[in-house]
Amino acid sequence: MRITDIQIHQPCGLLRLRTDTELEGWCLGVDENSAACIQKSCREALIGSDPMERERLWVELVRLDRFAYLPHGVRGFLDVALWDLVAKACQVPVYQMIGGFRNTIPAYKMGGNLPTVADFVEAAVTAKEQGFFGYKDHCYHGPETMMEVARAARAAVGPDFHLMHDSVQTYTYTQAIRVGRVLEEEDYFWFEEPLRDYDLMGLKKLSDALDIPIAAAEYLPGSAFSTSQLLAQQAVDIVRASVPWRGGITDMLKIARLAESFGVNCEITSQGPSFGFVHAHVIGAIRNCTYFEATRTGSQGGEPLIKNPLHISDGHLPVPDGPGLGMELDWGQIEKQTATILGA
Amino acid sequence: MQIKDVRIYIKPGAPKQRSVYSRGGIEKVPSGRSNMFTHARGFGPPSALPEGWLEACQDTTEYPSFDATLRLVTDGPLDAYTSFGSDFHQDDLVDQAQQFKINIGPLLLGADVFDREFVWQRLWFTQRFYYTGRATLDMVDRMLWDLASRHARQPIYRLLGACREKVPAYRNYSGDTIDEMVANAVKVKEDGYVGAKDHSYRGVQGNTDLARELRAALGGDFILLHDPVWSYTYDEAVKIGRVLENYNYGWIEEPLQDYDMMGYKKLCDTLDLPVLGLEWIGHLGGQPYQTSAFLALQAVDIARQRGVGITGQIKQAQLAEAFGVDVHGGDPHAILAVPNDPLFESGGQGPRPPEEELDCLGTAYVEDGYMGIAWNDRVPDEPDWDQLERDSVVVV
Repeated sequence: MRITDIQIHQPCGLLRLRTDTELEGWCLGVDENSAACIQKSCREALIGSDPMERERLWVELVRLDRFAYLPHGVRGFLDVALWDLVAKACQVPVYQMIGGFRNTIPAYKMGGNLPTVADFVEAAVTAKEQGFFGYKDHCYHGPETMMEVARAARAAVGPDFHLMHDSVQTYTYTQAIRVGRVLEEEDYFWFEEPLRDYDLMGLKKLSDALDIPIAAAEYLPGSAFSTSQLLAQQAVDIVRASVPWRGGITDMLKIARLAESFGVNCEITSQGPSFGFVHAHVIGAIRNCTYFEATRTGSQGGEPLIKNPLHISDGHLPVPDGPGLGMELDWGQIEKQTATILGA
Repeated sequence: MQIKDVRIYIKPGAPKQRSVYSRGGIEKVPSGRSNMFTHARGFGPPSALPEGWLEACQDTTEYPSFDATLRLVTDGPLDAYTSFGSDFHQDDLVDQAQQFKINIGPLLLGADVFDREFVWQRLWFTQRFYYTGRATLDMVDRMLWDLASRHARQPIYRLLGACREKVPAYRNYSGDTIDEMVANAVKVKEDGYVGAKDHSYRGVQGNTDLARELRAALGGDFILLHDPVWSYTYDEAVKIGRVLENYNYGWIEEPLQDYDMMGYKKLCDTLDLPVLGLEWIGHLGGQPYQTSAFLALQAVDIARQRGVGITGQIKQAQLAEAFGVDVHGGDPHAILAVPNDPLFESGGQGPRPPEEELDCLGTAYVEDGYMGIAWNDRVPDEPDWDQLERDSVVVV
């Protein structure tokens, strides 16, 4: 089997790796800029290649990152489509192509930067009522408000529910220590991105100082190659990773296995491309990830392009069991949402 | 496709001799002043055996033997199976089979054969509680990869994401004298290999002489590798390391004990020559979880693969890759699936087999100094289980 074309439908964002067989590999959610980069810089590496040589192509795409000055999200979309393609060719779901660990994943709910303390509390309580196993805030109101949120949220949800705080790089080191101590008192599950990912020394000091696990590296370029440096320094307690910001499925696996060797969890971040399908397969194939990160219960979206959207019920996301990613596309709808097809 | 039963078939094997051969003895590393011990065979005559010892352990009579086959029965078209060992005593094999069936069997029942990570993780933790060592995990993981290969009609290295189609190969050589060593290394070069590795325990002086003679005989481009297997003190390792740097060696392997993490760290810092280690820790089953600490401390320049199954070898290789470090000694399939295992240590592989002997599992071969895996999409026939059952003396 050889790859014959890369087609990207815009604006719906469907990437199709076409082959000299009926099989094709897909990734849904490709943005316009990435699509242009893929067509400009990656075709040469892929066209004519045997998709089973996935690792060779990954090495080539990593090289292109540097030499074609690609934004670091680009590789991920292609890697996903390659995995979809080879797993279809081997007639197994992607997670079992890798080596399955589970076929259902517990989920927590992630929420935005809400206006008031009461709103955060209500969001956490709602998440619990919806069957999620935890709630993660994005509170950027500064340390004083966050400490209030932590105390009130814990009081409202009770002890047997995971709470996480994600400040997305908005604290100084001193503020992070203060907030971290309160999060410890309120038995938070982790403290995410307190400082900049680049602040290796600060993260190291914070991880040493606090008992609460520090999660970081969600937006760190460099895949496993930069993550190794964080882990060797014990600068983080939990590694964050997601497609496409840290690469593709291959990158997620390398980062997760690296972290596993250090006894560290790799918590996959966000829903990821293809409306949860990609991250479901990644988490389905690794041990050291606790949760799927969701924004809602029920359907995870993608309709009407996806005929079989993923559903979270009772706080669990099933890993799709069809060949490849397991996405069933509605070609009529794809056509409706296609103004142009970038490709040959 | 789920595992529904675990069956072990024990049938008569070919009659075999029970003779035991001497491994050569353990003596002090020359010149003897380090008071460290090493394998006597390889730098001179083996340790003398007391009169009558060899004869007492040699018996040319052929005795009946028994072979066991482990089968993980699935509800699908393919089963997983492998050799479960052989023994002169049927009862011992039955005992091993029963131990496996009662302790490991229930951990596999109901598992999906494609959930290799689940099985790997479960058996990883099992080894601690059941003291099984890495062997069980290694065996079961390979069985599941073998099944996946037959299911997809592709060799394992392609399921893993083929990174390369061939890698350069070297071969080990030995000899009782330096002259013999050099002659054997020259033979390795003549046979087309890109390099040769000794297992020479002659101490600093002896191995310095060897390195000098080898480089003179083999020319500048041939890859020379030195494997002294724990036979140096730290100071000696630095001394020989400088000599090997001078003779453009590729690496020094296991100069110190794997346990000497701080010694390895210091040696890696000191030498330009890459220091390869972790075979023993891998053998004990510590990969990849102890390798991470060596890499974080920069206490190894090349990490030996000894891993636990194909799954464990990929974990080890990708961990090292994240640190820009190569691994060495993986399964041929693992080697071809990663970018950072550059040299194949050949061991008994022949040339590329004829097309009619190939199948989708693939056969590792060495030809023109390179290792590759030859394959086609033919799926080997499933064993005739009914016939095997009839041939068996016991089925557990």
